Amino acid sequence: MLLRARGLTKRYGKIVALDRVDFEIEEAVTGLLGPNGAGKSTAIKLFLGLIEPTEGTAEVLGETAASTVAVRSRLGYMPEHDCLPQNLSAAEFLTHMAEVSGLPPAHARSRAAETLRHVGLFEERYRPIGGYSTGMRQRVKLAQALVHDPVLVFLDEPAAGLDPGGREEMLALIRKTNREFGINLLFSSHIMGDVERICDRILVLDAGRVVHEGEVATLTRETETVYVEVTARQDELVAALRERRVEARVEGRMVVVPDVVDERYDRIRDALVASGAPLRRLAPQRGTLTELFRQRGGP
Amino acid sequence: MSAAAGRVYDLGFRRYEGPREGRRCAVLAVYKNGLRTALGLGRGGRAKVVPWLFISASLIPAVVMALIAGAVDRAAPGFDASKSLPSHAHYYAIAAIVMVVFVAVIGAELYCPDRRNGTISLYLVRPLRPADYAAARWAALVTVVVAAAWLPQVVLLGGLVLGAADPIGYLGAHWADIPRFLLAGAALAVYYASLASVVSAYATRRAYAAAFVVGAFIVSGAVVAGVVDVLSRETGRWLALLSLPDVPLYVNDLIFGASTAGTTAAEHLPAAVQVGWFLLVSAVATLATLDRYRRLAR
Amino acid sequence: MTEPAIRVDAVSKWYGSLVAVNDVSFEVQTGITGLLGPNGAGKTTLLKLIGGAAAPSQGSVRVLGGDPRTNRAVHRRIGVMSEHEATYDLLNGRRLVELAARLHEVPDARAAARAAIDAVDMAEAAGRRVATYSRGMKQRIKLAAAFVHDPELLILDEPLTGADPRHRVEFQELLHRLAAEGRTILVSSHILEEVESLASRVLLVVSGKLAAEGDHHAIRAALDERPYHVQVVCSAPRRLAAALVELDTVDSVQVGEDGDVVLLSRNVAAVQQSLPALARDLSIRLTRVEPLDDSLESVFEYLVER
Repeated sequence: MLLRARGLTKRYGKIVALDRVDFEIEEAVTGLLGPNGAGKSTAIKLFLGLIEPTEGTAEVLGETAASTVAVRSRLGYMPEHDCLPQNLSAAEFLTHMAEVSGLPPAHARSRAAETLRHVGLFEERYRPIGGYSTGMRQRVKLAQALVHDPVLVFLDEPAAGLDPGGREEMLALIRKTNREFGINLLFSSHIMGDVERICDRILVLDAGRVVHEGEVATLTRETETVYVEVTARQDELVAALRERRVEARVEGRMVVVPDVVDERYDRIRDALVASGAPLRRLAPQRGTLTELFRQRGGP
Repeated sequence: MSAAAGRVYDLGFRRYEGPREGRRCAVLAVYKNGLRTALGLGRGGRAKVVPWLFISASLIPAVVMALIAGAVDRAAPGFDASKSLPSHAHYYAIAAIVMVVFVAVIGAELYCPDRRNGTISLYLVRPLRPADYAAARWAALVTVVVAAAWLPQVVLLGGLVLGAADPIGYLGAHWADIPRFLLAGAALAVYYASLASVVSAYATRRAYAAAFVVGAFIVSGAVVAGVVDVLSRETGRWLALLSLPDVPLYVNDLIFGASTAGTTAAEHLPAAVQVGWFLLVSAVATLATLDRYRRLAR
Repeated sequence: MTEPAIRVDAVSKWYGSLVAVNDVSFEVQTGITGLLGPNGAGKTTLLKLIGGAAAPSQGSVRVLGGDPRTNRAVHRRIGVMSEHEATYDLLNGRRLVELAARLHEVPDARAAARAAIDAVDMAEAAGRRVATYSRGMKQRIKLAAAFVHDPELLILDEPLTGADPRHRVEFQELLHRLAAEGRTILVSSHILEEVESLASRVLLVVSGKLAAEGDHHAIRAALDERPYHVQVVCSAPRRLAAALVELDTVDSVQVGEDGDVVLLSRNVAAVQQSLPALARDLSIRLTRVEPLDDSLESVFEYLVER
């Protein structure tokens, strides 16, 4: 268990940013979700010891976050906003950040070089950051969060503003950070597709309270409803399914078949053959995280 | 013949098992980074222009003074030039404007960019307190300014010694100048650095911070000089304390027993007042800087 | 044939030696059209040209039948939302939208503003100053300001920056509704999965040139040098794989560790037709068939790589 909130409350005058929340963050990739103003940044600041709770405790690795500054050496933070100096090279900047995180100079230098290699920055690391592309900058941002080998890294919208290619690269890098490097992540994002791809668990906040905690696998598990997408002869397919006593309904391009198990798949296959409908896709329906937010007023 | 064994080394990510040091290491790192930033080291040619240009510029008066003293000495040997020509005691008053601009610009460079480009967030989440960061920057600024304040004096001393007819004798007669200029230079550095720090701690843009510092010095100096003449002697003396450029020069004058400040009215006040005021202004500015950074995290 | 809402004809735009848009031609009809491309491809410049904020260096841009740069009547019928614009931070949300309404000479500015603000779910916060808004809220109020005057054409540049999941869903519903009312909407976004569910057609620009346009499935089909990758999960992967390899419509087959089969084919229509019959003839149960590179994301990737 990495982080624990117990009765954690933060008030700013009359505004209650966090209201007696209890939760635990395990060793995993956890998605921290919720509308703007839900208290996500406040929670992160409390765990980083930047602000003090009004009531309750925020514990990091068993220690109260705000009491010691030292615990920050085991945490990493990749902010959403720009935060890199323009006139330093990535190598010098990263070595410096490693030292500020408590690594002695010689170790800092070699650790910085290693980290830059792991995030995919090679010769360019000796050039000033001001000349880097957006993708390269994001890598430096991630590198400074990793260089001191933290136990948990907070990532705030790491793919924001990146074009589709850059977003793909960043998500792959983040996945690698957890799967290959073994670093735990707390990942805040508004793009549910990204969260589904990377996170193992999610924690959803709204108006200062925890409204949902759970495993992504459970929330996105497959149901027994199957979608069949054909490129033509959709009506013939529905008729052929009905002939084989399979009830189906049409939703736009999809033919939706509920309760599909075992030999019902074969009936679908045979109906496809009988109707001559070209099969583009046959896939079970899965839950999506977006459903959590689809209801009126949120989850 | 034995088959050569092939080996593949694991270059994957490894956990860091080395030493982790605390705040001291962090503060030292910020301090070293501050020195490098101030002197433009490792930041390309452009970043070196300003600091090295100013350091050179501050050497010019020293070199000129040394040359003049040497020339006078050769033309009229035995004539103790140090009594009537400008020397160590006068240096800071002569070079004041260059030094103020230097400190203003370097000070702004040390505090403003990190806040402007957002790097400060990365420091605030590391194992050091916000006040530690500000203190390390302050220390770096003081270090650089002290070096820039002492260097010309050392050059001047060297010039005077070498230019004298009897160098050893000159040194023997004037050795007391050395601790004096070291102390005066340090006092000046701390004062300038503290004021530049507090302004840069609040201004977001380097240009504004530097301009404000320089402007405040020039304007307060000029205004006070003009007003003091009009007021009564007693009020004038106290009011002269508000002349920003003169405060460290009062200390300088006390050390050297000279009178180099622009508005000398305050020199009629007790020494304790002059020194006390200098310490108060420096301390308040420094503490305000630390406090400003403490509040940033919220 | 009705005049298209937007007609861009052999348009180029350069800034000194930087060619932002290079000889681009296309038409946009009613409905929702997506504008995609890597950073620096020229999307923002194109949107500026269409919105009338800049003039082309060469070629012509016609919007709703007129020149968007000079024709005031056309201006009144366009709504533009750009993420780069600053907002009047001193105003509160309601005033900002009312101001936009008045600038476009909307008869009852207050009512129109109220309706637009409700549509973007900002009624509660409308009384506060814009400076106090989060980024997502600023985006929503700018969106309200962009359609308060009921424009026929909406040009939206990254409208969802900073928006949380619930608002993203509401925004999609809002755009679908606006489009169903007969409007033309041109949306530029980096989040391809959202553009996929929003837009029926896309325009993809790369380095200032138009690389592709149309429905993304059709674009994919036009990329015929790229074989399709189709994943099949079934009860007897290796037997199916062996049978697939014998088809001359299949280029190659891979069997993965988890027992899934991935086939590559340049004639995917033929495979789509023959796969169920093949499985039936072999008494193999098919439990999943998924095209792996038919999505907008894959199409984008292929086109940018070219």
